[in-house]
Amino acid sequence: MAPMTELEIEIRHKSYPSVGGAPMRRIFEEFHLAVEPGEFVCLLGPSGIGKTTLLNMISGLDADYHGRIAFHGAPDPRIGYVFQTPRLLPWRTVLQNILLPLPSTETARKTALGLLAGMGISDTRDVYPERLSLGMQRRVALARAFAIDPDILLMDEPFVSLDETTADRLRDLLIGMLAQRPATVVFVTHDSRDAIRMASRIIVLSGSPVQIVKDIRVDLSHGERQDKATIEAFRGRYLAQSQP
Amino acid sequence: MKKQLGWGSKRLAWSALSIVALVAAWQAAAMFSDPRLFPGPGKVGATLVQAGLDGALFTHIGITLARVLASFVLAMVIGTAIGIALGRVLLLDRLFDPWLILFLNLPALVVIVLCYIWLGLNEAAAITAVAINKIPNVAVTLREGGRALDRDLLEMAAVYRIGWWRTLRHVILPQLAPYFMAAIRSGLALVWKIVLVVELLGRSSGVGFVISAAFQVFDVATILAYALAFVVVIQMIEFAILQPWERRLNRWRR
Repeated sequence: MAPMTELEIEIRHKSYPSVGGAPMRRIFEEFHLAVEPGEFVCLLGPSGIGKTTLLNMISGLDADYHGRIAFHGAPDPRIGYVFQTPRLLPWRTVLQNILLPLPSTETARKTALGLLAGMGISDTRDVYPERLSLGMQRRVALARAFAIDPDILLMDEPFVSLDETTADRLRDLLIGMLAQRPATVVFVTHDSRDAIRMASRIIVLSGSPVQIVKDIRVDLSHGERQDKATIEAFRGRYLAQSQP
Repeated sequence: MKKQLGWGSKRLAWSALSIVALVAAWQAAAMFSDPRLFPGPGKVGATLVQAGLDGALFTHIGITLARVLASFVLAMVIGTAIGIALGRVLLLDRLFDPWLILFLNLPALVVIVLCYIWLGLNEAAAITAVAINKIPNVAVTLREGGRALDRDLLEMAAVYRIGWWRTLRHVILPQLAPYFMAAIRSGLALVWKIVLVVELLGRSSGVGFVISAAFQVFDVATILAYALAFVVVIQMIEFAILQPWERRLNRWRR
């Protein structure tokens, strides 16, 4: 049986140093969060609160904090990170971008081509990313994250600045991909509809230093999540006060 | 495509016209000068053909080109490594910036003479001398490139653990390509001129050696013939290697 905690975050202290006259900012102070295996956790909160910083600490990009982030599932987990911007190499084709984190084997190539097909973007494999629309680039970034078969998937507002239809299609795509390749997801957003539509658990963050103000289980069925009225009702019930 | 072609051939026509005008001016000036001290294009052309026919031209140009290539590659590799290090690590930059300024302003002649004195009158000394002259320029250019590296992409490379070799090859070097090109362009022009001086001072082969021999007997026609031939060779490198390469590197740009 898998351990009950996949990811354990205990940040005693994290602050930004004072730069250019701005005072030192304490972002995290005694912040604790435990994520279970296979959970889809949405971190919901206003911009600039420290959500991206948290993802960077989980991914290991930011090691400048006091505390501990432990992975219990796999001690050295594969982490897929979908950044706020696609962060593709503009001088490499779509396929080369997806192959970048993979070993140079025929199997890896098949995996990458399979992902492209699964996401409906096979025809872009030899295209340079900057010639694609933002929605397409975000798909490629998603494919790259899934290519490494991640244990943990970190997502930082990956559907921001897309039109609603495109964003919706990408949400469905993500859910579909996760059904085939399960992973523990930490998804950062400031859009509560985003959260209700996908998450199994919503953590509402607020304040400085950041506090968890709400920890909500989302037990909606796939069908209910497609329904605008249900989403709005859920929003009204649980999130209305914190999301004026 | 058609438009590009038209533009290209138009530019070629202008270049040809410009060269014809230069040759004509040269011919006109030569008619009023001592033909021994300032030979016309005809005399220089004949000398060039003669040197080409007896093979000396190709031998000497080949040797000089080999020296240019060797010192150039050496300078690019070392200069790039230094440049990236200085561009990425502030401490190194602060520590070594004055050194860089010193070497940038050190006269080429001083470096050459010292290399010959310290390393002996040999090939290694010649190539080292040229490389040392070029390394600071490469380092300064690539330092700018190192400073401008995209942090987002480096983070991506770190998260996906692609390793240092892939990071260098797929993330860092493509970003440095424009700086590389700038260093290569200015480098080629600088390096071959310095190679000639090195040959003149301490080698018994190459274009610089021929020019120094011709200088002893005031053989201006040979001096001009070799100089022109080498200019043509360098231009051919630009057209046949650098420009196609640059187009290839820029394929991805919109």
